[in-house]
Amino acid sequence: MRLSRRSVSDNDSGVGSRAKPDALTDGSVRVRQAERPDGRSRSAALSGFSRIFVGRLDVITSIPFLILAINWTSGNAYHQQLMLLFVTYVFIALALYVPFILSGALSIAYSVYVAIGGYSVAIISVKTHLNVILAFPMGIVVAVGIALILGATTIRLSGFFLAAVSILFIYAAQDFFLDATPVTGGASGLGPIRSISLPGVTLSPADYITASVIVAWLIAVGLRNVRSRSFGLVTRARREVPAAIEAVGVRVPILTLVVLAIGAALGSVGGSLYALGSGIVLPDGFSLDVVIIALFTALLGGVNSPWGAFIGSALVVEFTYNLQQFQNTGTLFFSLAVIVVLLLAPKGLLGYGAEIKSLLFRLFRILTRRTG
Amino acid sequence: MPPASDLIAAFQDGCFFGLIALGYSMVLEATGFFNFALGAMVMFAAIFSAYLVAVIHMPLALAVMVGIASAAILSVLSDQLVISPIEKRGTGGELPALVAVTAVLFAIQQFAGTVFGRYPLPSESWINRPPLMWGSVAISWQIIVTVVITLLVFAAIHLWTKRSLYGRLLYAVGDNRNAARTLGLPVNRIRLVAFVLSGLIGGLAGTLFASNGGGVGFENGFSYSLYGFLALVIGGRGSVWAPLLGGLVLANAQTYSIYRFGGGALDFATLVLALIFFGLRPTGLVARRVRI
Repeated sequence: MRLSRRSVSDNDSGVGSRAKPDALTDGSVRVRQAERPDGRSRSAALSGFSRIFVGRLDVITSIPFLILAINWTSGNAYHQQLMLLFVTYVFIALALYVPFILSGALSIAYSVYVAIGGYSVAIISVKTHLNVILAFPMGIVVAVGIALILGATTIRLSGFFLAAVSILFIYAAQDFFLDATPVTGGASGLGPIRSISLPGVTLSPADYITASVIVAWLIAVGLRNVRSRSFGLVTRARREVPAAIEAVGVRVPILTLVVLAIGAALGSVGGSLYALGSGIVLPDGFSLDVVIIALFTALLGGVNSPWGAFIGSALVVEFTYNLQQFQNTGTLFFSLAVIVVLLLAPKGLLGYGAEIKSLLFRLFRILTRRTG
Repeated sequence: MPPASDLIAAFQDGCFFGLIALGYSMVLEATGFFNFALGAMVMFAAIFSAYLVAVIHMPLALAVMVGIASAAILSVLSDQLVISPIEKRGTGGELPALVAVTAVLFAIQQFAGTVFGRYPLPSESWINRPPLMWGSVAISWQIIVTVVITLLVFAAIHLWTKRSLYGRLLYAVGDNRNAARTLGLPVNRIRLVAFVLSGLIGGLAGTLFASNGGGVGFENGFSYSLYGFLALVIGGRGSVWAPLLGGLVLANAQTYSIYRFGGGALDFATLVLALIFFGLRPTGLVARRVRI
């Protein structure tokens, strides 16, 4: 197991880097061993505090940011709009994390799954008297079903062929959302959306935006953990050498369908939360551009951990909506930034940060050795 | 059957898709790389030439030439600045290069939208004469020009790949780049020629299509890329003329589906056509025969 973890990690994201958590753990252990010439074992050397801290540094670092984000959002309508946009990009970027980033499946019809989640909330709240919370399982079931059908139809396709089919699928789905007026409300959309009925609690759209941020954070923590577990390893190996995982008894087509279903389910949850936060569902919110930009955010932020999605999404919202001087040219600057990052820092901004950190780390070790 | 005027329009669209597919195939044959950003260059040439005529009041012929040249320059720049460096890194499979060309496509679209405005510009027909009447069907001169130029371009590329040194080298290099390099063939120069040609053909397609009168929006690049790709897959790579066949099949299928099922059926029909060809005949209608 140790061997397989190493070999997959070394190939990860195609840039010959090791996984971030592994690198962290190994780095800390090396320092501890260097500090302790008595040769005591690793577990004995680590105190209780360090054992919690080591390998979970990213999660712990993210907590203050989460609290800051929730604080920043509350009570300010403009901030809430920005946060809604941010968290929607984060959800799409997280939805494509397992299928696209980890497993390299170019089926990119995520805007359709987000739309399904959104429309299931809208349909239940406008057309029925059911509790809106039912929209979540309904959206997940429909989105996963469609992802499985699309996945099974295109199981033999890869590369550009798969990307082209899923782009055509997005176009066709958008036509459907526009034309099927009795179901989707057509171009004028569906709304207003009722709140989820909970005994004794009334939730406002702002509460849903806060809830979305927390759910996105939880999903990111989950994905970050999955990444280094056996499922994550198998998924990552699927991208590099599918024959190898077929040889150890994992059926690649089944695995492909499973990762696509995970992506569809996450996308649908994101769509449902988006609908609750915005109060109306419009068909033009689920275009191909949204998926492409979400894909860029994941790569811009960094592919080695799901946190890249957050950094990338924050940048895209800042560039395309918040900064006044970029009002019309925001997307241009954003796509140029993606090209620059792909050329100069193929691991994304987080990967760049990790590299700078390890450089400082090595420098520190050399200095301490010299002075010591 | 759809009315004759629709079929003639489909023929024109088919020529357009076929030219984009031919542009793709140049780069694909020489480098094995699929330059998905070509659609944006097609769009750029179209908008740029329309802008030069409408805003700068440049003569049409000059504006068209500048538009075509701009597509060729964009094609070479995207290769030299983005595609080549990422391909040379050689890691991560096709994903980084694919994302990079998508980013290039996006950047060119946004650049065009920023510089030339976000609304379609009016464009001029190349020949201002009353349409030719064939029975009760009117055929505009622009369609005739489009078809004739498309056929000339395909014939020229056909002759070029069969007769000229560089045309034959294009296929030789594409078949095995390492062997070609070992033999001392000018691999890099062939690559440059392929990207220039691809840009020129794409630029010509864009300016021809824009002169149709409908105007071209800056966000059309993505769908041009997609339709060109489909035309290439449907046609196959067995002959220089195959992209034209693919383009005509695609355009006719789209026209027929709109006629039969209404305007909303266009994207569904394209999706079904793609699934049929990708699933059942991924080598296209004219597959390359290999003698063993």
